[in-house]
Amino acid sequence: MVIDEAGFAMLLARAGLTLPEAVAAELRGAFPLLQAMTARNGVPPDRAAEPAMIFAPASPELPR
Amino acid sequence: MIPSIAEAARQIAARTLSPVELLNACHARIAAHDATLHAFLLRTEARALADARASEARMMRGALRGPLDGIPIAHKDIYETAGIRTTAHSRLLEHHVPTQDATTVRKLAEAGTVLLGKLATHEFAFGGPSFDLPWPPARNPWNPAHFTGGSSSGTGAAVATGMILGGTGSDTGGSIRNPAALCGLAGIKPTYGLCSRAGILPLAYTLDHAGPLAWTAEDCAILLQAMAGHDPLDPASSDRAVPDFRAGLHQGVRGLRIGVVRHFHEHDVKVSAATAQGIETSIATFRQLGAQISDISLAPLADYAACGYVILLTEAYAVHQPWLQSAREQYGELFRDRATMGALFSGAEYVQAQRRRRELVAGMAAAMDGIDLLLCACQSGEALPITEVAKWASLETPSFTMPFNVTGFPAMSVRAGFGAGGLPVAVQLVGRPFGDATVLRAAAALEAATQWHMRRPDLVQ
Repeated sequence: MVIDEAGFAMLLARAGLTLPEAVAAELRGAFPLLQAMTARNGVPPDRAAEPAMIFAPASPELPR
Repeated sequence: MIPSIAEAARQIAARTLSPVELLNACHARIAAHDATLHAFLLRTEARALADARASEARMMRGALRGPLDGIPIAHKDIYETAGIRTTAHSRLLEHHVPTQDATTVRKLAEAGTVLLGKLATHEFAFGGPSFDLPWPPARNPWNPAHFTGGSSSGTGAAVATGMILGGTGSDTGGSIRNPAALCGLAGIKPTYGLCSRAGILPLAYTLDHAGPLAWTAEDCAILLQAMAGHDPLDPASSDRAVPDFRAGLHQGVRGLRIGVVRHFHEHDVKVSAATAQGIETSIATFRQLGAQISDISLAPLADYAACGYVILLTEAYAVHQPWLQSAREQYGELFRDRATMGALFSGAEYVQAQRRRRELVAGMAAAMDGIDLLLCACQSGEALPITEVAKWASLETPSFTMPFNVTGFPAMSVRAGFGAGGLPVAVQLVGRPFGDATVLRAAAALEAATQWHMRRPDLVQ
């Protein structure tokens, strides 16, 4: 799952990052490690499956 | 002979050990070894002396505050300390002096501890071991050419050599258990929510845990007792009552049901011969002590790594985004490049990881139905040479520690022998949520039966 230079530059731009060429190239080389992780996580088959991070309604930090 | 916290506390209570003398012994070990090991980023000598004198005065008037009164400790340098520089081992915070203590710092101070200073970490608890920061990385006391494990690296080195008797760490993917394992001590990542994170510089909000490192399980129990408890300043803090972690500590493991997660080290990620031997010896010891042993299966290590690292990197990037965009050159290379990877995930990928996390938590809880503890590998082997830790190692090879950051279950590193290179190896004990006392109890039983804790690094023997 190799990402081309243009595609990777778009990801960096979306994040607001301008990197030296050599650094960008190194990170692009490691990017397949991230792709493998997101592929492994997949998408739960149950549309209603909630994320782990859910606030309880009574949480004191929520506005009342 | 370096006393444990429990032993020093007994002697202080009996007035046979002066907190000031105990402090001076720690100072002597720091003077002898810290130039090699680089455990301390900052020493607070005047504060330590004032703390020790105050403790001694309490001792003399019979007003000791408990087993931590007069005990020399230090904090990982991501714990904020009022009036004392807190750098996260980073140039970005080189001159940062907080105005308030972290909740756990305050609680440990109120327990009467003696604060010796601030300890090395990986930059912001993630970027190490690094050689391009204002301070060098800590080194392993069993062989200073080797890595301490991280990121609570200074705490690992300082406790192993008796520069302090205990200290604080934080654990987002293994940062308490790694240095505990590789420096040959005890370290517990408590249940998520048990110890406040307020005032501790965050790495990844939903994975960060605060906890202690010390020489023995009993010492960890003593420190955890002071650190644990509800804190309204931490939105993840649990309001459950904190049990007495020492109450059943020496009751042994007879009747405890221990599930061995054999596929972690036999199939998912291979371990060294010494680590495999340490695991088998620990299993045999628990069986001999009366525990019921069975094998159980969890999701593959790679599943926890995938979930955990998408969350860790994304949250770490969110914390550091402003500086990574505007002051990027001030970070060390390792933190900068690792954290930048978190910018590359989409919002949907982060949410899918958090959804997967809920499945993994449910799966681990189901697997522990009828089981009191898990036993599994903690590290794949002895500490590597410090110059051989690869930048992307944690993304390439799943760790044995991340599963319990993903699920928040309590997990502890306990010694399990020594490898061919003479450095320590360890096993990991894992409890049910808020079963921290059971984890400590099993660790104490293993220590008592194996006696690995009687051996210190050669340089302090």
